[in-house]
Amino acid sequence: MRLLRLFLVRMSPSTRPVALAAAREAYPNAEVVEVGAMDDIGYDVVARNPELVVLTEPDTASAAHAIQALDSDGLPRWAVVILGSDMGEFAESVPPEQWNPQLLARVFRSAVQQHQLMCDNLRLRGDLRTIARRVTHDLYTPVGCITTSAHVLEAVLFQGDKESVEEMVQNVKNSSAEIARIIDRVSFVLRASADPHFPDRIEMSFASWNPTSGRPGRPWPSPLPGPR
Amino acid sequence: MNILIVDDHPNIARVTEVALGLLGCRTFTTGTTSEALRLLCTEKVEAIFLDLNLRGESGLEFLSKLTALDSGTPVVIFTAKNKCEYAEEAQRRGAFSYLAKPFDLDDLRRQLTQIEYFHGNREGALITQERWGSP
Repeated sequence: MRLLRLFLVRMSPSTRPVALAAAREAYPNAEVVEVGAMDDIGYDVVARNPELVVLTEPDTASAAHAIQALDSDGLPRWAVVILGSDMGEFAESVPPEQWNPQLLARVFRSAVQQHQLMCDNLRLRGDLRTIARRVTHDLYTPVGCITTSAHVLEAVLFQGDKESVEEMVQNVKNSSAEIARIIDRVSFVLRASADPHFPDRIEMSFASWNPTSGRPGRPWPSPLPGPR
Repeated sequence: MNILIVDDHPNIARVTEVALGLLGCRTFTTGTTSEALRLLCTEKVEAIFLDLNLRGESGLEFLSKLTALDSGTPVVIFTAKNKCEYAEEAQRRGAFSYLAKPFDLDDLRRQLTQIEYFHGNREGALITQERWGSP
């Protein structure tokens, strides 16, 4: 299990042992840091960035501070669990009568997973928006060029200027090829976005493992010429 | 009429050159604003066709610079049909008019006629109108 960093904020003597036990059960290898207030977390992202913040009966300002914090990419900065009254849909709240280590451990794990999924989803939606914007612009340029070239070609053919006809035909070919390249790139990016484990492109003539010798492979010999 | 085309997409720039050539214009073409400024100093240019989406200095920034220079040369901006908000911004910054891509010879001829009128050349405007048919 990967190492997490959990921050327990403003734990009272009664909640502290329960929260600590829950944290140990949910993430046995996690680094647990206790602070008195949200401001004590600070903004040193590299050194002290937690993945889960647990607050006990926070005031509205502290809860808002925890829930609304964003990372440098504009994504929710951490998962938030509130031990106490319900503070809205962006944080898991657990009423006092349900404070026991087993249940809280499940809530901690669920909050971290939900946060991770939400970040992945927002990141993906951002990627898709960027792709859509780029595709609109990048495709529009060659398509516009093809259309205008066709209009000019029509006029030039009417006039009978062979050199300009050849040039406009070349323009149509270049712009068509440009669109084909963009479609190829967009298709690759969209498949990679949809599937994080989308395989990298590799040189197919190189075998990475030789199953007969058990040693790393070497390039396949060139195929013999002839019909396939 | 002498026209300066500022567009860093070579195919678009070339097709614009050919189209303006068919309408009787002499063209100078560049993909950079620095080269455009140099050409404005060395050549007699009667209109500028400027793409808004240039790499480096944007078309809008360059347009503001041209307006500040107060050269009196009309600037027609190229813009994609779905980017009319940029056209409005360009006109606020002093653009003479805008040409939505993709354009055809009739669109270009209308622009040239307006430019001829702007320069007070009624005779030239009529010639441009007659070339490749009436509007």
